[in-house]
Amino acid sequence: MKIIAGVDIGNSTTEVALGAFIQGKIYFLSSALTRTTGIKGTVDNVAGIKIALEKAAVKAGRPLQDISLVRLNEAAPVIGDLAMETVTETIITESTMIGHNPSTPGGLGLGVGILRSIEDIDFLEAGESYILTVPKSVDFETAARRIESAFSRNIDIRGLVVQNNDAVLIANRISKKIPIVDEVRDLHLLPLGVKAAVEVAEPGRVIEVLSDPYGIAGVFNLSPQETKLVIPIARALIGNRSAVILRTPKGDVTERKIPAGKIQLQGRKNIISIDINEGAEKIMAALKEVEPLLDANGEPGTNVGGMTQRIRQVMAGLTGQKPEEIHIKDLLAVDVSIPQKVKGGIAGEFFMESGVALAAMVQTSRVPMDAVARKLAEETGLEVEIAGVEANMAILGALTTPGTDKPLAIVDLGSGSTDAAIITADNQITSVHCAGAGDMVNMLINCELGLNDMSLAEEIKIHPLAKVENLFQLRMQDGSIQFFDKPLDPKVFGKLVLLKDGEMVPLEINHSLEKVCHVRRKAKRKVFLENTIRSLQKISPTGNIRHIEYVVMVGGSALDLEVAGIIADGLNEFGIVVGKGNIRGQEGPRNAVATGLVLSYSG
Amino acid sequence: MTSMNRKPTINVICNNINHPLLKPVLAGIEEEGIPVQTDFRKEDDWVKAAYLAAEESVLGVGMALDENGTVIIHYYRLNENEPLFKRNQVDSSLAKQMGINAARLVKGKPFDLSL
Repeated sequence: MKIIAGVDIGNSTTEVALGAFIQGKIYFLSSALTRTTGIKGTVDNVAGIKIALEKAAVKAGRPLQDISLVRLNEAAPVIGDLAMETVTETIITESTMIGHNPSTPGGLGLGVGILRSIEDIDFLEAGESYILTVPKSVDFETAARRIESAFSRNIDIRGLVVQNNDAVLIANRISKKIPIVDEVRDLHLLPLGVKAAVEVAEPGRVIEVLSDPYGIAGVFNLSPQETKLVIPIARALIGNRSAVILRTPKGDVTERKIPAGKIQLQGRKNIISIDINEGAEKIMAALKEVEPLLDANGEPGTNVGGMTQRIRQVMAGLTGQKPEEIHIKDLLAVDVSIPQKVKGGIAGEFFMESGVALAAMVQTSRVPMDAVARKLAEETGLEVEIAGVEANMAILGALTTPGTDKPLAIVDLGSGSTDAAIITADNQITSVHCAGAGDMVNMLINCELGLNDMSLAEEIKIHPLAKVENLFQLRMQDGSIQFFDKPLDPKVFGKLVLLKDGEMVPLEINHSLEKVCHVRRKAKRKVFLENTIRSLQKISPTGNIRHIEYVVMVGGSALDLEVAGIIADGLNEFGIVVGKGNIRGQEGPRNAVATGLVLSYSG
Repeated sequence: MTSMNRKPTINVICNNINHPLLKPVLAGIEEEGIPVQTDFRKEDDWVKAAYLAAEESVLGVGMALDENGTVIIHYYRLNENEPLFKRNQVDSSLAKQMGINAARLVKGKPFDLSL
């Protein structure tokens, strides 16, 4: 009897399958999984491989030294990299607006007037309209009293901008209904003496005038030229319940396009150069026209130029090749909207900027797997060999899923790349690698929700969401309700939470449940569905995706029920039968390559 | 038992109308737009007083302010001796925040726990 270990080093996990080879037959003993150490295909992987082998040996009840042979996959020499470029940027020169949305503004309506401080209220004259600022040193009762006395002197106060959280309190204590915006932290930055407009809508409604460019133009008597300039302001205020806009003499809001640069796509027959600013759809269309892609180059000195250069250098360092020998073989572009803090804002305003996220797939002549094999043999004393092409092994493993047969296509939904392979009835195997997978989904979620935290993005990607509706109940993302006997922690009250291993992890973000679910689904669809369709088209013997009948999904991301559902829905359109792999009838979609490595051992 | 009537209000109890924390507590509740009613009397057990105020409140939320700067927020579905919040040595800005939080308990909005 010989014990064979199959080891699959992936971008994020290292998987092992252990099988006993007895009289020409394989009996599986155990499997294990651990986080990949270092970049896939480098000697840093050895540490992770050892952990996984030991885990599998313990599960099988055998000492590690009983393993007669370790078979490593010939890792596909492809590595992905990601980049995100903002293509628009909004700058406010001088303080022109407060796109501010406090939780409880006061009063109602639209007020326009000259901006003055309440400290100067005794010097104001009748005949002019005013908007007053109320600093936190003035409490709400004093403010209300002074405003009331000014009203009695016929001073025309049309609205208030308040530093404290006092808007409702002041509104309840004055006799006229005027709009009041509060919680403006940097009140002292407001330039007094300029014309200002304040708008507050009824609860549950949104402002109408200041969220419309012509509305703003009417308030400030803008020329058509100037009206064009306020479009970004109006856009930023859509959906707010309250807002303040100031007009400073030199004030200006500009939206400028950042020169993200052009990318040159070199195909076998033609070359297309396309501007990143054109957006994802145009880039992907151009890619389709040049296919097969031989290389892609960013315009030197631009953002995208820096990105392609960086990818080449990382790969060159990894493989000992020269940067110019590294070629980008696939790209995936996805449009994103990114909440960015406005330069020059006063109350921490955000604008939604647009951007493009790119994943690139690089192919080198080979990844130094033999170095990994040598080091593993040295450190463990085991016999190690490099065996089999990754895609072939994956197919072999996938075919252990009950109910499958040749011809069969697999889609491997990983973290770094989306791979597909097909085996025909006469055992011909074709495979392809596409740029973009789970890591790109993380990047999109991270950008669109403005998280600045990749590990949080990963958590949001995989765990179910819920909202704590009151101290004893939770509303799940599907609308169902869960009740509790004991009161929930006040820290999670009213918040969105992730349900993780029976715990509630509160999200400190200001988005609705629907918005987070939407962003998450959209990211998965744009990366995984797009790549699944792209890759199946490439491996289909006829070039037509409809001619593929059966598809099995494998890889870590296939564990994500939402991803599996999105792909099943998407492929259903083409009449394809698709389901999750269940390797050896027990491993689920994981362990396909490791299993294939054991199965392909023939003594 | 008390003079509270059955309007949808947060019910606040303390010993007298000049209690120094009453004004900021009421301001916090008012800023969040929730109606409130008050009752003034002497109590030995203020946690119990807050609980009874919550039980009597149509909104299920009661507050009690003792003579020594302790503020309690209670909810009718909690155990009587386990109030939602009980803070000692409360100053006027924390009192306003607690008023806001009592109102947010009604509204289902996240608490302000900054103080």
